[in-house]
Amino acid sequence: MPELSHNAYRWLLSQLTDAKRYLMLTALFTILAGGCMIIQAFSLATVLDRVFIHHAIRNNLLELLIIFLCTVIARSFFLYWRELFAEKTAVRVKTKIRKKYIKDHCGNPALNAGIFSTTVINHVEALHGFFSNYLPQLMTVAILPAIILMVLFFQNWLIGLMLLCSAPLVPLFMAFIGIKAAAQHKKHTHLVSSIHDYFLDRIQGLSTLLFFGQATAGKKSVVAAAKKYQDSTLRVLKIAFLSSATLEFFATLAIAMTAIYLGLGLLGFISFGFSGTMPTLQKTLFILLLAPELFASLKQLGNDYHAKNEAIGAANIILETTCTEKKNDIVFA
Amino acid sequence: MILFLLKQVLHARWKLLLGFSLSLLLALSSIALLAISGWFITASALAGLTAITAMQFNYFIPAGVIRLLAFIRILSRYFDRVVNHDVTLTLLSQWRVWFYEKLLPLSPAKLIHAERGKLLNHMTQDINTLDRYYLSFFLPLSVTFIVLMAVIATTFYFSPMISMLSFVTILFFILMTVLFVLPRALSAGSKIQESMMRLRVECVEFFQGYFDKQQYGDTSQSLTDRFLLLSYFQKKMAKLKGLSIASTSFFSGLTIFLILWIAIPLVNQHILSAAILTLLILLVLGTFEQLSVIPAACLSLGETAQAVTELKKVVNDSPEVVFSAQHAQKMLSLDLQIQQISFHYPNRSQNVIHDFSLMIPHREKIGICGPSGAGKSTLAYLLTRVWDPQSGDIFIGDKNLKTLSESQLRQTILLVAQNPHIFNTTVRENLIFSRKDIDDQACWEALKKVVLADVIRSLPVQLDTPMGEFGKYFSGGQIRRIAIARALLFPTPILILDEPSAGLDENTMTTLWENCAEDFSRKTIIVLSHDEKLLRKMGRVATLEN
Repeated sequence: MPELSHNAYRWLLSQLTDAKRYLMLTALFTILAGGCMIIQAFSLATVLDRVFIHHAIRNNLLELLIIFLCTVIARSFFLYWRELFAEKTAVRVKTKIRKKYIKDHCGNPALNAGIFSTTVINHVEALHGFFSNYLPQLMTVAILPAIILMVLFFQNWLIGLMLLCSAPLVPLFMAFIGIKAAAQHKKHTHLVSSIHDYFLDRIQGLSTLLFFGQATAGKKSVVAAAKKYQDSTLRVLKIAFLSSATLEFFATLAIAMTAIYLGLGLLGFISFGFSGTMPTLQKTLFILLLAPELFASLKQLGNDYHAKNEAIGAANIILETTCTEKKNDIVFA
Repeated sequence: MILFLLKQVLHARWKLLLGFSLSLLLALSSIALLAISGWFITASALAGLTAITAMQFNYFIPAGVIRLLAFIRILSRYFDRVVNHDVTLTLLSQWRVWFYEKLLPLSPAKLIHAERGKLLNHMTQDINTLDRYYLSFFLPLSVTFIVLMAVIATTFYFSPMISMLSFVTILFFILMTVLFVLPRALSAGSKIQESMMRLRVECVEFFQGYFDKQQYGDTSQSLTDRFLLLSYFQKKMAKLKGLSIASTSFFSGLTIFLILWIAIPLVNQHILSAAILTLLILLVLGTFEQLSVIPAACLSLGETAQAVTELKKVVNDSPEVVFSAQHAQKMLSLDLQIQQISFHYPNRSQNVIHDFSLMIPHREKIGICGPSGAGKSTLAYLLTRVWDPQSGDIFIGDKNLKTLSESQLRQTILLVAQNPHIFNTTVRENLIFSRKDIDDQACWEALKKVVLADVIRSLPVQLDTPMGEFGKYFSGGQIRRIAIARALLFPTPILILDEPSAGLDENTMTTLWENCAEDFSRKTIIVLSHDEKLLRKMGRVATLEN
C-alpha cells in the first residue's frame, strides 16, 4: 500500500528532529571520504602513467606519492567519523521512539506482551539501518556520483554519457523491485510479529500441554510456524537479491565495457569519444578506477534500500499499534 | 548440540557445496575482472605507442576473457545469494523445531520457573543469529582464505618481492583485526545480545505485570533506561565497526603506496613490466575488498557466540525427572498411596513436604487443606512428576509412579493447575487441544457443566470466540472453568484440582459441583484448597502442615 508506506516514511523523517545535525555530519563525511577516493584514484593513475609512458623515476614523483598517502590517511579518518555520526543519529531517534512507545502503550489491551516486546525491541531496532545508512546514503547518492560523473565526462564524454544513461537505470530498476519488496516486507514484518506471539504462547502453555500429554503433538504446529517463518524470509530476501543482481549487472558491464573500449582506444582503433585528443594511460586508468566507484555508492544505496523497507515495515507496525490503541477493548467478564 | 548442528549441515552438504563454489566463483571473478582490465589497458597503452606494436597486439583474447568474467560475475552474484540463504534458512527452521523439542523433557519443572520472555528470545533471536556461523563466518572466511592464497601465489609468480610485501601488510591487517578488534567486539557483542535478552524478559514481564497489578509509574522510566544500556554497547560496537572500515581502507592504501615505492625503480630498470604492475596493484585492491569480510565477521562473532552459549545452557540442562520408556503396564488398582515422602526444591535446604503419607482409594473425593506455602501445589507437582520427592515413594495400585511411562502417567493423573494456561486461540481450540475427536456437542456439554454454556452461546461467534493472550478477554473465574471443562473432556481416572474455587462465587461453585457429580463419581478427585465451603463437599479432608 503506497499510501501507508508514504505515511510511514513521513513519520520516520519526522522522528529526526534534533538528530538532524548528526545526519548532516554523516553525509558530509561520506562526501569527504568520496572526494579523497577520487584524488587517490587520480594520483595513482598519474603515477603509473608517468612511470610507464614517461619513464619517470621515483624521486620525481614524491609529491604525488605523498598526496596519495595523505588521502589514504584522511579517508580512513573520514570513514571512521562517518560511522560514529551515523550511529549517533540512529541511537538518538531510536531512544526517542522507544520512550514514547513505552509510555503510550503500557496497559494497552489491544496489544499483548509478545507484540509489545517485539515492537519495542525488534521493530524499533529495525529502524536503525534507515537512519544510520539509508538516509545519509540517499543524501550523498546524488552528490558523489554526480562529482564522479562530471570528472568522467571531462575525461571521456562517451563513457560519461554511457554511465550517465546507465546510472539512472539503476535506481529506476531498484524502484520497480522496491515497490514489490516493500509490500512483501510489510507482510513479512506482520508475520514475524504473529509468529513470535505464537511461539511465546506455545512456550508458556508448554506445561499445560505436557499435563495433557500433548507436547509432542504440538510440535507439528511449531514445525509449520517455523516453515512459514522461513518461507516468508526467503521471499523477502529473493527480491532483495534481485535488486542487488541488477546493480551487479550494471556495475560489471560498466567495468567490462569501459576496459575494452578504453583498451581499443589506446591501441588507436577507436578515437570516438576522446574529444579529438589521443587517449592517455593516465586518463584511462583513472576512468577504470572511478567507474566501479560510481556504482559502489549506488550499490550501497541498494543494500540500504533493504534497510529502508525493513524500517518502513517496522514503522507501519509501530504506527498501527498506535492507531488501534484501546479499540479492541472487549472483555467478556 | 554441536553434533546435531553438524548433522543437519552434513545433510545439506550438496547445497552447501554449491553455495560455496558460487561464492568462490563470485569473489575470484570480481577480482580477476578488475585486474585483467587494468592489465589490458596498460598493455594496450604501451602497444599503442607505435602503430606496428598496436597492430601486433592480440586484443581478442583479453577482451574475451573480460567479457567472460563479467558474465560469470553477474550470474554467480544472484545465485550465490539465493542458494546460500535458502540452505541456511532451511537449517534455521530445523534448529527452531529442534530447540522446541529440547524444551520438552525439561519441562514442566524448568518451564514453570523459567522467565517468560527468555525462552521466546532463544527460540527467535538466538536461533536467528545462528545462521551467521555459516553466512558471516565460515563461508566468507574460507572463501577469503582461498582468494588470498590465490592472489599471493599469482603475485609471487610475477614478483616475489611485491608478493611478500603484500603478504606482510595483509598479515599485519589481519593480526590487528584479530588481536585488537575481535576481543573487544566479542565482549560488546555478547553484552548487546545479553541486554537484548534481558530487555525482552523485562518487556514481557513489564507488560504482563501491568495487567496483573495495574502498576505504573517509575517502571516505564526504568524500562526506558534499560535501553540506554543497550545503546551504550551498540555505540561501542559502532566504534569498532568504524575502526574496521577505516583500517581496511588504510591498509589497502598503504599497501598500494609501498608497492609503488618498491616497484617504480623495478619498472625503471625493466625488471617488472608495466602492465603486470597495474595487474598486481588492482589484484591487491580487489583482495582488500574481499578482506573486509574479516573485520565484519569479527564484529558479529560476539553476538553469535553469546546466542550459542544461551542456547547451550537450555539444551544441555538435565531434566528434573526421567520417565521410564516402558510400554503401558496393566494396573491392578487405581488406589493412590503416598508413602513418607519428603521434598525440598533444588538449592533450598528446607523441606516443603516432610515425611508425608496418605492413602487415597480410587473414586474417593478428598480435600487437602493447609495454609498457603504448606506445599499443596508442590504435592500436586509431585503427583504429576513435575518433580520427584527426595525420599519416599508414590504408588498407583502396585506400581511405583516412577516406573510408569510419561504417556501412561498423563492418561492416569491430570492436574488442573492453579494458573491454567489459556492459549491465544478460540474457546473451542482451548477445549479440545488434548483430543481432536471431540465434537461441538461434547464441548457444549462440558461448558454447560461448568456453567459457561450460556455465556459462550451469547457471544456472536460462540465457540470460535478468541480468548486472547492468557485468555485476557475472559475473567479469572471463567478461565478456571474453561480449564475444568477441558479436564472433563480428558478422561483420566485421577483428577487433581488446585484451588478450583478461586474467583468463583459460592453458588456457581455449588452448581458446577452438582453438574459434574456424575463425571466425578467415576474418578478420584483430589482438591487442593483452603476454601472451607468447598472442602465441606469432600468425603474426607487431609491436612498438610509444614
